[in-house]
Amino acid sequence: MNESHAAPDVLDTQPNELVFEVQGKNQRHVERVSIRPNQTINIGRAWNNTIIVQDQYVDANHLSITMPEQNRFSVADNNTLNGSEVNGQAVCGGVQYCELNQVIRIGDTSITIHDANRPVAPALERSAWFSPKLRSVSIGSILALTFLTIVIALTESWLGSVKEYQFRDGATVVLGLALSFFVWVVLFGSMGKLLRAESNMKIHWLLCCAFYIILALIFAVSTIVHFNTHSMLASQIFSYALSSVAAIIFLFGTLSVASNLGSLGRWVWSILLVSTMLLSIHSNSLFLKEHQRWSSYSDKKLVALPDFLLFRQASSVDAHFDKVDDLFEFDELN
Amino acid sequence: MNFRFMVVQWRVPTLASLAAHASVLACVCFSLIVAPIAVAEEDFSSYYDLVYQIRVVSPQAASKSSIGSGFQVSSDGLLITNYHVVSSYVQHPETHHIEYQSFRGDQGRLELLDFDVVNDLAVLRLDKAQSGFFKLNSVPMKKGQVVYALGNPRDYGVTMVPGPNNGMVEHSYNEQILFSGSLNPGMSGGPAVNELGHVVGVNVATAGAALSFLIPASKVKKLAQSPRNLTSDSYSDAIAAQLKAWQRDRIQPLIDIDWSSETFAGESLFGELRNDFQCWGDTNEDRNRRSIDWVSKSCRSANYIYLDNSLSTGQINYSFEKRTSIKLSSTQFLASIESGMGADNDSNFDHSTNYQCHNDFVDRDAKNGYRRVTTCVRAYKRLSGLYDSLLLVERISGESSLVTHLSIAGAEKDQIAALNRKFVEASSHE
Repeated sequence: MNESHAAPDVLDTQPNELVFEVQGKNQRHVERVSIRPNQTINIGRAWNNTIIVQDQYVDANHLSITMPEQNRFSVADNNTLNGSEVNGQAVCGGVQYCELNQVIRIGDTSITIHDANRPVAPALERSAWFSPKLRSVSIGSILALTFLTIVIALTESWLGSVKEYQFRDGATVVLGLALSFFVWVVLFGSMGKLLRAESNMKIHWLLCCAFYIILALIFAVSTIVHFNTHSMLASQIFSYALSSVAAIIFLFGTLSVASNLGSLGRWVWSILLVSTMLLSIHSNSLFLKEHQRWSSYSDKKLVALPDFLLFRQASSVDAHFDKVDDLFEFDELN
Repeated sequence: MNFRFMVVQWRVPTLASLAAHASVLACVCFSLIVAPIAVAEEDFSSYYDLVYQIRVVSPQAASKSSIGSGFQVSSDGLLITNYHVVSSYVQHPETHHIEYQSFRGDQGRLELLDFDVVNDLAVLRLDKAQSGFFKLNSVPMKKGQVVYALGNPRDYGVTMVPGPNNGMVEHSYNEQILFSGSLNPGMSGGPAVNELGHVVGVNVATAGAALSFLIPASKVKKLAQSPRNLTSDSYSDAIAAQLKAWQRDRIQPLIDIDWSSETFAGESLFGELRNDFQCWGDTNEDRNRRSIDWVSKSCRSANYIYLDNSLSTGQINYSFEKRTSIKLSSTQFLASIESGMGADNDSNFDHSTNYQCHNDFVDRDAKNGYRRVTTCVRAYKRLSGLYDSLLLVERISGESSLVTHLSIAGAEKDQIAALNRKFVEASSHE
């Protein structure tokens, strides 16, 4: 007797796998939900709802949905200000029934319930540039790129050290780098989790490593340019131009996996962020008046590199002083 | 060893002479053993009447902007003071004027007739000449002879300071008397007289307790007697002409003489080029935990010219530094070399342009590395034809570097070019 009642109970309580497709005014997202018969799902703006809807015309606890029988749902409006509709019919003071693939409308948002066993179009399109390859990278690739980054960082700090290099110098560099990468990854991983329901930590870490390596290369090349041309301006333009491009691509990649922005939006935000950063660094020097640009120091900051990195032709003392002759002409005195 | 001269002028307390470090030290020691000064038996009270307080007044501020002392040297009211006492008027004649106040409280205007920026003297004319005036001494003074400096220190009233004459300052291109009396700000431009009341010098600067400097009376005589055609429009031209003449006489012999070789850290270089240059050396050999050995030598000319609160010129300084790697790799050692140059003289946007620079690699070989020469020049905006120059010659290899530096302030183009070239040649002896 007990056994004959036990079987339907087990069947009745088996969860149904559903997909809620939520189409807002500006964004679309899909959520996978398991629901048991007679279990209630709440929809609204508040954090304690099963489906959270970001819509100002939706109440904090707007709708309650239960599934009295397979693939049939009863939709109850919780006396909301703007009300609810099922398939174009208002849910007035009671319960309206709805079936799979019918549209429930609350505020500016439409909700469609799908069977999870049928394909549903993904909510967000992946970036064609970054996601497919980066998402498929193995842990081995991550370790290899991290190792390369550490080697480059240590080499850079060892070459630039003007005292005997010690273990703690290298440890400081590696820990500093790891900490800054970690902060970046957590920050944008959390952002991605919130906006896209995916953290993409691995991709952020890889992007950080790649960006650091590229910056280190740009710095090395710009030092060689400075050494050979003796022009601070040339090396600065070179390093700022290339590192800005690298930063824009890096931010584009970061936004691709951490936000819902479209391609144009990602480019615009990346360029805006990098431009703002450049402006904030150089705003002082850009808006200096003529007398504020005066200095009692020469603008020549000379660096020394090994002889094999010198690509400039050696001159002679006579040729040098012939050219120095022109230095005595000052435009501002004319 | 950072002694500074103090201008005997209110509001301009530091006419910094970076020069004469050794003589300053020597004189400090000397002042400790100097014999007590004999009290003057003569009656000097009448000389107090002949000392004036000189004030440069800014009418906008309705107040004096600087004060010094001065004295009359002729019956027609010629008055002598220091150039630096009236320098703010010379730089901005349109916004200042010069006044005097006598010992008895009489006040009036002064007209600037002439100045000598090199010897720090100015000639003015009193609007009401007095009958009494100082005579200039023409008899050579003996060392140890007591002289009496008069002036109005810090606006407290005319004061007399006795002290022995110690002859001419050593290691100086310009002639100055070393006076072991305590001059104070405000006494600048006052007379220093002998026991007969004849002016032997003009108070000009101090370098500490009982260590002061006088401009010889012969310089006053020369300026007082020289023809004058100075107008307020021609002050800058006159300063430029005086500086050019002084620098030409001073620099040309440096170009012409043989710079005798002197060993510096195993390199064949040169030392004190002339009596008015002094060199100081330093090294880090006594430090235990060093990764680079360095030895340096810095040489400075004793003289420079004060033109304004914000402008000085005439400095000629040179230095050498040799660095050898002990514990660094070749690339680390090279990374530690970062050279920059800055002016040794005071200036600002009103007086100078920015530096314009050019550099070249002039030698290169795989064994000894490369040699790089950098020259920077800036021009004076108001002193036409005068420039400041910075020169850097670096010989750099993976294990050692030798950096030599020459800085010239306030010289003409041809003099700078010739001295720079001579410096590069003398720095390149193998």
